[in-house]
Amino acid sequence: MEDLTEIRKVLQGKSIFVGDILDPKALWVKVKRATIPHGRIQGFIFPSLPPSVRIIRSKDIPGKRTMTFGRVEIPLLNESEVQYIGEPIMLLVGPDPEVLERISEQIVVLYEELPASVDFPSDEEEQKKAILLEKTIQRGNPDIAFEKVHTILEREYTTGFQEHYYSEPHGAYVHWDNEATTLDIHTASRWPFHVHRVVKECLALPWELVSVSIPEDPDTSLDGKFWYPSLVSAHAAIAAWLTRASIKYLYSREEDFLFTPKRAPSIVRLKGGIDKEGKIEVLEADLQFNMGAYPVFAEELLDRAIYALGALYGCPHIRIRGRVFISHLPPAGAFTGMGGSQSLFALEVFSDEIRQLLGSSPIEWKALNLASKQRPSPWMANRKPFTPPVNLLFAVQKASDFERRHAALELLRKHREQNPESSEATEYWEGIGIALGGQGAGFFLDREHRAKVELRITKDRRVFIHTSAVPGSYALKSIWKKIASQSLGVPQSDIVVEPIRTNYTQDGGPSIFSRNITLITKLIEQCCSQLKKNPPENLPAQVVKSLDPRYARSWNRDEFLGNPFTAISWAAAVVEVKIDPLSLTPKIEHVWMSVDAGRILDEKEARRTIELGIAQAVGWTLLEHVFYVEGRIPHPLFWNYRICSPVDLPTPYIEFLPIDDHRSVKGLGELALAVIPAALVNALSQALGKRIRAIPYREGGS
Amino acid sequence: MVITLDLNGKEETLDIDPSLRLIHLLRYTFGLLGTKEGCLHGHCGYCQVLLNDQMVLSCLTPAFYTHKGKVLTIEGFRGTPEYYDIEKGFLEVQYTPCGSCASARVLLTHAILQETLHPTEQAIRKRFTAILCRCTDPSRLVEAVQRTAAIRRHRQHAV
Repeated sequence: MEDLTEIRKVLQGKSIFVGDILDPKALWVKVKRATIPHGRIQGFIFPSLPPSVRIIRSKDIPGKRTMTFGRVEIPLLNESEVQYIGEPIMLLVGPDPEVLERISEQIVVLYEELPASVDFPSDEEEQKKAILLEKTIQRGNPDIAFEKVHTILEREYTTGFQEHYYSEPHGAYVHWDNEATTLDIHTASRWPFHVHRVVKECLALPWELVSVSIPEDPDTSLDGKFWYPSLVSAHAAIAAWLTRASIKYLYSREEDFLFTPKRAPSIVRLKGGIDKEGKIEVLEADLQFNMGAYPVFAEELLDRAIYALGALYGCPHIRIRGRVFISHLPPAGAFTGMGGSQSLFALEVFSDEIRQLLGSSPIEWKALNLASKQRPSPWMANRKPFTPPVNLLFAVQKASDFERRHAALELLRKHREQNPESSEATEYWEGIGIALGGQGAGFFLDREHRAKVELRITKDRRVFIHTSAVPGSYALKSIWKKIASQSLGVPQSDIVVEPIRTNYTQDGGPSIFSRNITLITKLIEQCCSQLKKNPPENLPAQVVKSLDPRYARSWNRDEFLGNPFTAISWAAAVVEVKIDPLSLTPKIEHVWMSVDAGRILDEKEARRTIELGIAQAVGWTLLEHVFYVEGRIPHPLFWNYRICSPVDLPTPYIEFLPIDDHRSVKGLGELALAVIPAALVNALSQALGKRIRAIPYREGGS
Repeated sequence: MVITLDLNGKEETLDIDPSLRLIHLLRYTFGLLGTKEGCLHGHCGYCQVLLNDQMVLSCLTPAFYTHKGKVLTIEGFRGTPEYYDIEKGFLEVQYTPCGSCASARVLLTHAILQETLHPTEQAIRKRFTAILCRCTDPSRLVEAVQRTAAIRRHRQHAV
């Protein structure tokens, strides 16, 4: 019997977020932020301060004054050279948030303005200055291959920023109690251990004196809370430490929208060489990402993007140059489909352009070019080959009748173009598009962050699951309980998935990239199967399992050798659209997806996850416009920002085909982001009779 | 200014600042935290409550506007048979919105079913554009509301 207590609590409005913690004694924090994109701070002019307000500056931080991510150092408070509009300069602490707001406006920061770059660098000189990371991966000999091919096509694709739009803006509550043995921080984070580490370092405290807890209610859109909560929590913890008071610190939705990380935009230039039979022989790519002032996990993003470009097709000669640029914008980076979704959008629109040039049908061209044992992808020389299954293509073709519809709509479009006065030209224009893609499960830094599960069974047969992971949904918790229940013969109501205790469990890394469903689920299964062997008279008992990161150790990220992922899931999507010829506004008519995500543990939840991904992908492709003008998001964008709503999406057809490996549990949260944008854009291009190469789409592709 | 309102079935009289928003009256004066504060700009729709049986954005509604009115929040609704129809309908189809928008979704479902017990898919989708959240798969939402409608029809028929 499924335990529904937690879900009932949500429906009854009993979820508690940071904003719901009412502590009348708690002080508030306001961040004084930079107002120019790049400049050296020369000094400040302070107004007279009421005694209840305290200003906290960088020099007041008792411990480390930066957060470190690989080669990136982020100042907790930057009083020297500000790098983006909105960068935190100092903190104001006091009992009344309105007073803090007013004083913050009265503080004058004197800057020496420095040149700011906010876009992708356009010439070599600028590129040299702005580059953070560059990597070139080559297989075969592309230069010679280009000389031999029959046809060459070169195109450029761009993708934009995307706002996370999580349910509660960033915030943290720090409880101060003179008698307490730990400093307790409550924040929503995908990586509470990282919050713990940053707070411990900035306050110069031993690990055991800090404790981080997260809200019980899992937030499905927590990707934006990957690393930024560490900065917010550090600010709150510093304020609590220095004022000896509890702190409540919550960004406004607008502040969050304007200054916190977004999906990183990309430019992907592709040059493909095709032989006489229509096979892609050679692919050259120039991948660029603008990750703002502080590119956190730049290499992870770049590697995923490079991998995605080579994962689908059997192309013997490739050269992929990937670059991450810094700029004077707020940090941009992790979002569902990190790096891979930008690459796959470009690759799958490019492949549609190639087949159009050759006059082939999309399915025929893809089937001819998909990687296989006979015609391996560049990465299939690695020890464990991951092959995109061609049957997914045939399944989605069968479900959508794609070939026939595509051919019919092509004829209609041609007729319309030749007869602009005909009724077909004035009614809705229709188009249908297809795309393939995949997602890899696992974090490239798994070798450093070992996921861990501890499973205890008490004498009265109650089971406690303690993990190093943040479950992203109730359904996931429910899946874990179901596994333990079935394996150990204990009712689900007697199984507890315990909240994370960062001062008790080791750092298991962030709960992203489907690590929960792949790694944690596997570890729970292993714990259960070991406990099952335990004789009933030997209770209580406890088993601890942690990830053996063999696959992660095998991955050579400089040469792209070995296995980067625990598993790869694949999907094919078809999208059909209608466009109003007057407004050029598109409407999605149908979505079909065939998915190979291995063993599906809960089909309803799997469908839900895919559909949430489709909504996010449609938002990124069509609706969600974020851009910066001179380093600042124009104000109206906040008011007009629109994510996908129920009228924007039809009910999708989703089919699960465990073709590749029906035993493994794989991830599927990023699959829609891998395939929907390109399928949708290919459909729009057919409907408009004009190729779209940039998202988000603007009416008519202008 | 002094206002009197029916809040979750109980008459309340209080002296308020005219600039007070309804959401802050509910959350901070009465501690009704089930009404979530999303954007404070009327954008996300998480803060919606029923005022005189109509859904309103409590962040954009001045508290004085409720004078002599009837306000229903999730706290007042969750003990009613109508609430249990919704809970049952949502759970039967495994529809689990997040804690930020759940209260607004439950109340909006109630408002829709007050108007008709046979809501169409199109009508449901249109009404729920008033709540913007990344947590919801629209097809499951439609299924949940229609399942709830069936449960309520059955219950009312039984009565």
